[in-house]
Amino acid sequence: MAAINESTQQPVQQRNLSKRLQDMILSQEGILFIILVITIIILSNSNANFLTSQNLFNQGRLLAEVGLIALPMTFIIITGGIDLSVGSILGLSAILVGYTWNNLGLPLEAAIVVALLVSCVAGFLNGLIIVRVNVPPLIMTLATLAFYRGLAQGISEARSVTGYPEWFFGLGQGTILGIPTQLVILGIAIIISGIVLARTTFGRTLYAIGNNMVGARYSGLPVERVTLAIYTFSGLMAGISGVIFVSRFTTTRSDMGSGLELDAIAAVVLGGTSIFGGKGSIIGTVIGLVMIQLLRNGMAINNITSDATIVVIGSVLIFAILVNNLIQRLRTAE
Amino acid sequence: MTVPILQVKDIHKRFPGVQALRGVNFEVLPGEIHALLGENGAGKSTLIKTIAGVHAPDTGQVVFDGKPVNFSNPREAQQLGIATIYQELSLYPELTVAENIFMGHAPRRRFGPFQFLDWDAMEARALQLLAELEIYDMDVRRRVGTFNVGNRQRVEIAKALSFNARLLIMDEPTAALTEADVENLFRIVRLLRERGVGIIYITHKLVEVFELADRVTVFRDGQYIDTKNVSETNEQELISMMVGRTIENLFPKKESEIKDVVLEVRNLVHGSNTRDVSFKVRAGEIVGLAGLVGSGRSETAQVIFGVTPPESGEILVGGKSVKINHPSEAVKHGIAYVPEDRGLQGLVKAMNIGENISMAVLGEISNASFIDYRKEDQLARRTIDQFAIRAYGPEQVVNKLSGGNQQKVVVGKWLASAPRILIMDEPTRGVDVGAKSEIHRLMSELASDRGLAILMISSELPEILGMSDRILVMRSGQIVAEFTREEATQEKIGAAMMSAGSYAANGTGQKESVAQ
Amino acid sequence: MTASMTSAKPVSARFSPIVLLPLLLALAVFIAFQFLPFVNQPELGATTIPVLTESRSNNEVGVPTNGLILIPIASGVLLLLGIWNLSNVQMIRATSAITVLVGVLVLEYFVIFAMDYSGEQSTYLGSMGIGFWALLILAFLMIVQVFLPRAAADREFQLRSLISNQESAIAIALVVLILVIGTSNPRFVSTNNILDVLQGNAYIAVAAIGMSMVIITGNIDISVGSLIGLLAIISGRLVVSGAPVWVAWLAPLFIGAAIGALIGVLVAYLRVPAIVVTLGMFSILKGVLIIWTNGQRVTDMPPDFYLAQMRPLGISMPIWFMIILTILAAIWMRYSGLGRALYAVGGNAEAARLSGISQQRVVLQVFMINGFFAGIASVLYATQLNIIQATPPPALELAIITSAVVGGVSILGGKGTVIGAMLAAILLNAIRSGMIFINVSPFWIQAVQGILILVTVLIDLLRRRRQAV
Repeated sequence: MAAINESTQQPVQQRNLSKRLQDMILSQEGILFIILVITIIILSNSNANFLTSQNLFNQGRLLAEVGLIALPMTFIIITGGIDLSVGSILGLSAILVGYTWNNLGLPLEAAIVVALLVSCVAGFLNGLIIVRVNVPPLIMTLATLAFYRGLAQGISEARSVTGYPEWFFGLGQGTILGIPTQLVILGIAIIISGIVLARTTFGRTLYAIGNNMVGARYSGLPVERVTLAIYTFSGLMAGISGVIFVSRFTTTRSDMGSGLELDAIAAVVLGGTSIFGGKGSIIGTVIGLVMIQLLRNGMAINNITSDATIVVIGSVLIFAILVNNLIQRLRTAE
Repeated sequence: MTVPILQVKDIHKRFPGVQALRGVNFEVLPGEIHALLGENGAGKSTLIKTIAGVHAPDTGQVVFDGKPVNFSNPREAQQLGIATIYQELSLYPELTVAENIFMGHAPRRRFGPFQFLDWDAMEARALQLLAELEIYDMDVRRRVGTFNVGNRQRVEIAKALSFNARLLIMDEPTAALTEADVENLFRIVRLLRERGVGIIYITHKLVEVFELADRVTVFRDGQYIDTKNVSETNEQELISMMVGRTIENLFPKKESEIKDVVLEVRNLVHGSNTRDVSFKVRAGEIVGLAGLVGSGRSETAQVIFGVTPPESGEILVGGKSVKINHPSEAVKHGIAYVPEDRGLQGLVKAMNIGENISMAVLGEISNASFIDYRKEDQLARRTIDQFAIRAYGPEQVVNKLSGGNQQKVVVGKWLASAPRILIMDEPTRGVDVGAKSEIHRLMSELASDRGLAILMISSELPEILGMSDRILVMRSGQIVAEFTREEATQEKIGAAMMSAGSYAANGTGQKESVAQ
Repeated sequence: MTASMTSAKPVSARFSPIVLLPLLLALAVFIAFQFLPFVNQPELGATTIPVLTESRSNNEVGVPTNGLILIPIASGVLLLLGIWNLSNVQMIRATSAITVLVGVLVLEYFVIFAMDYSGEQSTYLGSMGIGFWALLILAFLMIVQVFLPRAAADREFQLRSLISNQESAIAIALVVLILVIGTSNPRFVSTNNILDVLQGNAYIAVAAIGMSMVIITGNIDISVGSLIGLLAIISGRLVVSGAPVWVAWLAPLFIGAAIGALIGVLVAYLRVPAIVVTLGMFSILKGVLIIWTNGQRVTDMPPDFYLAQMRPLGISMPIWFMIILTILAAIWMRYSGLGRALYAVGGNAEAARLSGISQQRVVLQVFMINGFFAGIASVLYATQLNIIQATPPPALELAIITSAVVGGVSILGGKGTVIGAMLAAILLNAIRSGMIFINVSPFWIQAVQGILILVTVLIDLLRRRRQAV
């Protein structure tokens, strides 16, 4: 599943500044960024409400839930894997917050911790079987998509939980220094993920795995441990996102997060990460996230129903891959 | 004068970055076993792929059965009667023997307007084809995936038969076979020769050339060197044709002081490829590990290196028993493994030289996990200079380097980890002669000057003889012989590789069949 | 004289008239059958069979003394001949398979209609007798073996090879489940419930036929649920707006095939991975559905539209579709070039290319077939109730994929049968139904699905690993 980059001047992590700048502008991320800027300009011209801080912050809230999941998804897709179970883990986390707090009587803080712990375990289980038994990530996370969602449904019996204390809503609906809380959390996560991917040995290992897992292992890189880590991380992020979701939504429902994996994968792929692995960046994912959220916002402002946007997202996903394939094929021809 | 079944005239073929074939002329007669000899990268694979229709030649002509042909895909060649058996057998493990043989051209029956596959005819014909190869005990309704390699290869040959092939090309067919299977294969090949089929037999094993072939053609660097009748030549001559120079210059092994035992393995077991292996390697020593393909050398090396941890047995580094469950642990104990499959196991091809060189020592060029790019760059430049790697800088992607330079990157990567024990698996395979002698010189210096303990796995007997202080021979997962540098000869080693027990005084060894 | 590698001419299978004997016998029995009055009884398990009351004896099993005794004898002979055919290489296997099946069906009918029921407590299981079930399963397993390559057995027909594959494992699991839950709650095995179990997932099993084929080629389609929902609405709207019923039935098949073709082009020719294409398609189709229907369901369809509610021979239509389509598909996959090409492409794409099989064309075609079967499934789904919902059941595609995977279709490609998928679909519904009967909350069914997929995949992987490298 490695994307062999045939060009002679394009390493996956670049250091030389001027070359960096040049490649940045011409890369998929760069082009997307330019499109992004253009889109923002068009949208702000067409509707006065667009560029208001209220609108932007609202969009930021919605974006944060997908965003938190898209970050580990970037790691996973770079290694050539995929995680389809994130939506279900989010739902499970949400349910557990409600169940342990409501039915088991735990204090809300403890309930949140339990939910996050279980999410970690859920992600860890994914990683464990993928690494130990060599089940392809696609089918493993497809199975756990069913299993975790099933657990959520079984535990909740399709009943929702409401009546959370006020302070809880600060997470999903409050602000820190005027910026929505979850956006701040997302921002921190982006910075950390971005640095880890681009500048640490962990990040280098991810790229190595995505390009040639066997070669990486033979070089003494801790391939199994790293893979386990990223799936656990994915579970954790889904769990955090679930807690934020409940806080924003004020109730818990068992179908929460359904379909979120689609948005996350779309954002990652749109941002230039190759679905085959070996190539990608956090910046790209962020741009992809913003792009998709903008699309939603733009359509909503112009009174297109939110359901229609999933048509667009789906099309965008396919289109993004096609473009990606095309770019790679053009580069190979050089 | 019989008309050759195949003639190749002045073929040129170029791939991006490498001229694979230069002005090749070649012919095969019907009812002849024609061996094709040459090192990796010499152009044999490209030639047979051109004949089989996988590639189209840039210039030149392929003439089959007297008529010039121009294949646009391998299927056309197949239908004309050219059958190819590659090393990676192209079979469907989940389907039956009969179906594998006839996939794509299965016998059919009509039933009114419908046409459907005739399984009974398919199975009957499959049995017939196998019978023609004198194979009577194969269940054609069995899934191919449950057979061992030898049997699967027989299915492939039967498949070739099903196309009424008149030219059969076999690429390193004995690479993964046990002894009994090799015997069987030879029998089948001779049978086919008697039927008048022309056979191109690619091998790097001289023994097989002399045992099986009528004529032998040698390739070197994409160029046709010469064709000889097997009865009129000898090993020495063939080797010098393949290599281009006499043996002596190639292996400048320096004298070195051999010190204490650095690596010792005792009763190492893993699967059927490592069966109770024990040996020692000392600092300053080069131990050559010889054996046929499939004898378990690489597998044993990978057990020591932690890729496939041992089921039982002990590994001692510097006298202390260690547990190695993962390559990262092996590296920590000072073991380095330059692997056999450079592209898959040695390098990450999409990354550049710098990233590859630092891959085993990421911990050392980083501070608290943050990569220090300056250190990485320095390391890369140092390595490039030290090994005279031909590239324009650490930022060049290794995919574009030649075989020799790629190998240097791999070696450089591992030397950067300052190992005490260096295992080199086929260190000069697919490497041009110049780089080859550089690598040999390097190995020699590492042993004598830096006191490394080197275990060298090689299939080239001259290399083993020239470079090793001591020689171990492996067969079927076990060490069957040990020779010192002084007492070793090609014949002794060859005999040990092929049969159990030591070389008998009268020069013959007994061959015995191996349980599958 | 040109030298060649073989000298003999191809041998054709011996075709002797004795092959036709079982088939003729089956035909004779079936015709005789048609003219006997009790066949027209709509209700299975009916107790009033005038023809037999004259010869009824005191115990439950009334052994008739008139000509009806011929039926079980003939079916027994039929069954045995069929079984013998299967183990004998010379017979054409398809004929043998059909013979066995007919024999079993006839036997079943005889048992159902010829036995006397006393009171309401008698259950399907009780009146059938364990022997009947054993015979049914055995016959079924034998039919299944026809379509499967053997793992590693000698040429003789071995009992062990019967149970060494996934399909048999599922059939056995099904029987065990029925026995276990049936003993703890006999109502589970009542006629109505068994029929419910068979029918509930029938349209899923039909869709699983196409999905199995897709997975065998090494691809996947997670958009099929939305597709079924969309096609169902199309079908409903067509008939409501005045189109003839047969148009409303056939249109989804072709629209489904067309959408499948679109997916196929993207996957095969433009090299976008199937998971991504269908992930995108999933939301595109779902969105289109929502936009188009605006949440409104379709009602007031003309009465002859309700295909799924018809009950020929007393068995509801979806069950017929499921069984017949599965058998036809299994035969097609065994005996047609394209059917085998699916296995080739999924098993070793490179080798398939060398065999002259065009991977692109095969993949394109398989997605079209998948769309076609999704169309059939959508018609069954649309016609089972008097209203068509605006959204398909949630996680429909998951149920379909689960059926295929648990049924033995390996997600790695190149292996599996549609019969296994059908059995797994039935098993899944049996589990769901069973859970209700033993008072386990049905909300756990999806968790069970997930575990089943996982376990099946693990077993498949371990099995592959243990094989020769």
